[in-house]
Amino acid sequence: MRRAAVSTGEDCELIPRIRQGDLAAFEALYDKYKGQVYRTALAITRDRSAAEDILQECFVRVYTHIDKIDVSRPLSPWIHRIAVNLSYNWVAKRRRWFPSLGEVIDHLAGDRHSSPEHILEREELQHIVQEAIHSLSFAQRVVVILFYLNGFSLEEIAYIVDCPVGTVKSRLYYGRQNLRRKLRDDQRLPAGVAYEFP
Amino acid sequence: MSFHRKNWPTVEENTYPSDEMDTLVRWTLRDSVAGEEPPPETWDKIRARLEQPKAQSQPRRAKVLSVHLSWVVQLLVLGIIILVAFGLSVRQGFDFSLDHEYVVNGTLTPQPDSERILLSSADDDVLSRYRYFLLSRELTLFDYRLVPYADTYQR
Repeated sequence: MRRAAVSTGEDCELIPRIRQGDLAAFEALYDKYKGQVYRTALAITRDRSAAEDILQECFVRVYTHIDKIDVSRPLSPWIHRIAVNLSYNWVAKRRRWFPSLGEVIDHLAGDRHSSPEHILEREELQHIVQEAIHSLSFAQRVVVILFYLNGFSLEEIAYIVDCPVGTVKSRLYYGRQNLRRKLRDDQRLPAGVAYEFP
Repeated sequence: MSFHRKNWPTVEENTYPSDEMDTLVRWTLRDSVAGEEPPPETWDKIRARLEQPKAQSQPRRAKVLSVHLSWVVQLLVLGIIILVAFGLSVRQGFDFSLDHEYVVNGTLTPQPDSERILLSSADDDVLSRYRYFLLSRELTLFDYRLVPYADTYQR
């Protein structure tokens, strides 16, 4: 799963139909991208309700600005750009009204794989890494999520977050440095894992 | 910026060398949201929102119409005010033509065509003043004659 950006062949067929008001075509487009967008928003916000709201608002905006889409370019970065902006707004509001971001990260401990202490260990590890990721600044966190979760290229990330590629490289570099330091210093990490971060 | 670049690991343009930490971060992020899907009703909500503007177009149209109507009403009121003012001025005998004299501060102000008439009246005024001057002079001469020993005083 290197790239989230898919070929625009199907999109090229869907977009003209959507422009003519074909909601079935828009539903097809929604079905194609809803998972990616929802998971990106969820990774950034760590809030299912927020991720759903962002997904909803994102696709309403996609529909209302469908005329602005350049069909010669991949659609995924454009949609993610909207989603990331909406996520930023959500995080900014939340930061303003709820200064403590440390809410329960219960979605990691879901009952997807109900098994013994191995699961607990894995969840603990995920929890620590998630905490490290979310301790990054918003700008670094978004770049890290888009790079590792979605597999976007640096150019695509630069387009999504609307900044030069050099800035993306810098954010990714320092984000990784911060993650490395936090994970190395975290005493809760299993010894085997900690050993792997010299 | 060059300082930062110097510190970066040597990488290709679009890739970073992947180590254990990258693997862990990638795995954590993907596993944490793996299988996460938006609720099925999300599409219905989106669809409802997309269809909503059609229903809202009526009030918007009504608003635009009311804005246009307000302009028409304003123009009508302005027109009525102008007509009433014009009617009142006509009733009071105001003469709009520029060929005649018009009144400023209660005195007649000359217009180019009426200048000659005013000049003639001015001439009369000058003549009458001249006549008064001559008359007063005669009276003065007469007074001199009446004064006894006037010649003595003059000497």
